[in-house]
Amino acid sequence: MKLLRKLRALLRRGKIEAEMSEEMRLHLERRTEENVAAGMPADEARYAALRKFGGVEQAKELARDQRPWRWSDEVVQDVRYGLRQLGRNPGFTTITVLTLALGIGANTAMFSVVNAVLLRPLPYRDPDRLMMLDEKWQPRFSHFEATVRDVLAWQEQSRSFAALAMYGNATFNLTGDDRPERLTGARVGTNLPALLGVEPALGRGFAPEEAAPGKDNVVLLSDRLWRRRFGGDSRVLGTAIRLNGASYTVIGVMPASFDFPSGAELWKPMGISDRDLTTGHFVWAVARLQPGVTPAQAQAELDAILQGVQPKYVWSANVVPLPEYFVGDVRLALMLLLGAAGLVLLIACSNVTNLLLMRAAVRRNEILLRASLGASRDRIVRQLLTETLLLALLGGCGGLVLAFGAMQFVKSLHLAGIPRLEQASLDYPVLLLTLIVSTLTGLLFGLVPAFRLSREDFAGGLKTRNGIGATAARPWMRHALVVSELALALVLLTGAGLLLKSFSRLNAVPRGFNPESVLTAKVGLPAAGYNEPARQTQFVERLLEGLRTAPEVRAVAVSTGLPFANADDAGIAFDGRDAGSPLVGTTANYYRVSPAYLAALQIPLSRGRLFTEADIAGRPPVVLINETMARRFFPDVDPIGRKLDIGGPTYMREIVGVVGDVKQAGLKTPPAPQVYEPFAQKPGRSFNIVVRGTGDPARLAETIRRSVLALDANLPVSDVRTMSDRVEDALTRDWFSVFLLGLFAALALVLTAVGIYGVIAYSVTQRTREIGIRLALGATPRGILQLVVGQSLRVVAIGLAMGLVAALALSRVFGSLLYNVAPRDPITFAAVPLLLLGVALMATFLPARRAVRVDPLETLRAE
Amino acid sequence: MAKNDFQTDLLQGTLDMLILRVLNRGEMHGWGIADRIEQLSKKVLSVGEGSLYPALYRLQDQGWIESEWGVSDHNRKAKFYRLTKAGKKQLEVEQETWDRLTLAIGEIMKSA
Repeated sequence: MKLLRKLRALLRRGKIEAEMSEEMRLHLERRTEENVAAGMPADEARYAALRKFGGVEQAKELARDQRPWRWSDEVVQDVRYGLRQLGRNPGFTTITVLTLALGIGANTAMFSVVNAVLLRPLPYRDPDRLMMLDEKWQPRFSHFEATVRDVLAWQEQSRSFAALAMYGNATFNLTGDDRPERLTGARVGTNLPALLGVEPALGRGFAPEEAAPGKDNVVLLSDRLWRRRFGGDSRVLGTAIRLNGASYTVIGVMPASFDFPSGAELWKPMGISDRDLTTGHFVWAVARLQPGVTPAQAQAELDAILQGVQPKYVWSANVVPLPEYFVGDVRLALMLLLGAAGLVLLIACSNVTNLLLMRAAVRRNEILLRASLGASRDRIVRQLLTETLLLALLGGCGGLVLAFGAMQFVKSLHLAGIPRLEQASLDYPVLLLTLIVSTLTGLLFGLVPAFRLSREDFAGGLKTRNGIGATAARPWMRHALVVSELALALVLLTGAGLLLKSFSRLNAVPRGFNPESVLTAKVGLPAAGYNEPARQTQFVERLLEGLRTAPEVRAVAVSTGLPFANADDAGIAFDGRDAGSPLVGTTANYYRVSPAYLAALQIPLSRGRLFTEADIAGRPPVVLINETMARRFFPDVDPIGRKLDIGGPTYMREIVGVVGDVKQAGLKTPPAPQVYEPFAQKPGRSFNIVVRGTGDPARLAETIRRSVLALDANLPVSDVRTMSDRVEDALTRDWFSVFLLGLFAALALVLTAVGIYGVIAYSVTQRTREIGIRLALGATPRGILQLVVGQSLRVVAIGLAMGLVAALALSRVFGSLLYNVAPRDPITFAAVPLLLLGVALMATFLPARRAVRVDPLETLRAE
Repeated sequence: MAKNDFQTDLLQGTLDMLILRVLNRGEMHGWGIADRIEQLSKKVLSVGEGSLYPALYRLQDQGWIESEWGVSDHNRKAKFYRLTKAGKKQLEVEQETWDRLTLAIGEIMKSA
């Protein structure tokens, strides 16, 4: 209540002030009239009234003094005075605000990314209790899709979950008008939306009975698809659309925020067929933990269930919290970057503290004057703090602008591989954090100079001005700043150096193929009309024939798998090896390709031959294997002519050639065994078109689309991307970390250099008189130079040593982010201190040289 | 000049209490309060009218009295003050304190 009244009084103060004057005026008027009525002459009546009242202005002032807004008046005064002060020193203000803006901006931008990627809860009900379930087969696969059978067993037998829903990726060819489109969607348990706590924005969700095959021809649309293809018209509900050649009824539209699984644009019930039960590993499950059950307990229960279901118990369960499953190892990199941004801010703060200390020395006389005129110590400290807070808040505003720009830039890069990055924004928590950070930094760098000034002996101060003793006081403070800046910069720079080295190593890793000028696109033939293998082969033959004639096409092929995208995994069994031998078989990346595929991607042939147009159905079945497989399974013999079975037992294929290793799953993982089979000998409905061409990829894409539509007007082409893009995507995360840490380190280097220069330059100016005396007494300029540089080098050495210790201690954290670089890489740990030493030397040498050029007589006379 | 001595020496807080006491009878404007105090004290106490207003604003800020512009019996614009509930309670408290204080001082003066 009291606060409310005060606030009201504060807001109404203008009005109150006016009313007070009015009331007093009326009072005096009334008294004067009384006096006149009592017989006094007019002017005497007025004087008498005034006498009785006392001083009008004093009364007003007294009243004001008792008002609760006294403090706020002073704040306004302080702010006004502070702004005037800042305006009077535009150079100082600009540098300070800019320095702070860089530090705060780096933190704001980083925090907004961390907030979007790590902190903001997933848009589901109670997301912390949601778990992702999949399977693992150690040591080969730590995460792998589960089988429908396993998930069904979990669903029936487990007690750990309140609800459990299965889902699998699915693609749909949407046809029926002149724009056939291939859509990414999902087959889901009918309870999935309810389990996540999301209701359709329009229409209804799935009914339980729609889970059964035959009743499952119903779909939910994503908001995006609904707007793009159906004009956001609610009349689409209840209508039929054609997907993969079958008719589906649209029953609802999901809200725009619903993106599960990521990128899905439509959802249909699982509709589990007999075939699904035997197809293998292609589904995941989401489940909501029962209260009081831990993920580890649930995992143990699922494992026990699997042991009962699988004839040979090889697959076991994973239970991972949903946010962790999708964010994964980005967390470490982001936290490190946030820490790095924090270090940049600390360096910025220490620079600003230093600037303030220097300015405090300059303003000493002004402040002593104010103190001797009666300003209280409190008031002076408050005034100085107001100024630094103003600086910090201005810096915060600048930081927001920088952060906004930085985020627009980062978003414009469309970095894949960092989930939810595109949602980063300057929202309320980010703004709040910026405000808090700005205020804290203001207090941090403001308190030191403010208290130092206020501790001065005000009485004696004015007398000793410009004395040698007064101004040379406490250089250790500035030295401490130099030491901390150097140490912080060294930590940042070594981190950046390690990451940069790791990134360049990663970039130099051979991909095993040439991604330049290669465009890929995906085609899925519908079952209706293309179920016969002969039809599939025929379609591909005609397609390749058509594309080969296009002038901008150099080479064209199809493949079921693509490096840096998807490839099937298949079980390989070698002919004539004992069942118990470890060399009997393996899992391999499995590609079914047309003959020109290896030439199109420029995958080199090591031995034997590539596929030819003669390797077709009915001819002897052949395969190519990669060098890794050859080395591992045929260490001493020539693999050519040996036989293997793929996904068998089916039939044996003869190895006719060995080709180079290709990076399949990113650059960091070593290549797996790989096997190629002619598409013509084992065709399929789903494949990628691979075109090496010349000129604009967009025109090439159009060529591909036209060739496909010429063969079947209902057939969409999807996922059109250059191979280079795919490879770059795999580097995104590493590039992101390197880029940002490099940027922060560069900032730190510049700030530190400026900081050291500032400190040394200032202390040399302070010592001009001393240097003058030394020169006058016969010291050589060279000797003085050595003295000044030597003294600051001692400080620099302490900073570097401390930084080195901290960097070595912190390097352990880096380990998992580095590729082929030791966390304590000696080259980095030698180069960075040397670089900083060089920078520090330059920053010291320049002001020192200026000092010795001073004419000694001049400086002595100046006193 | 005895009057003037009282005017300046009026105990801190006593003026507040007097104002509350006067307003307890009903709402009143500024100079009315001044007149009333003078009149009730049989002209012994004269309020420095200048210090009356700061006191009024202070009491208002504390929520013990509230004010409203109105028209006086002489058909003039004036600001009327009136006790709030909190003010009534405050008056009781001050009355009690005052009674105890005067009693105590009286005892001392008698015995000494």
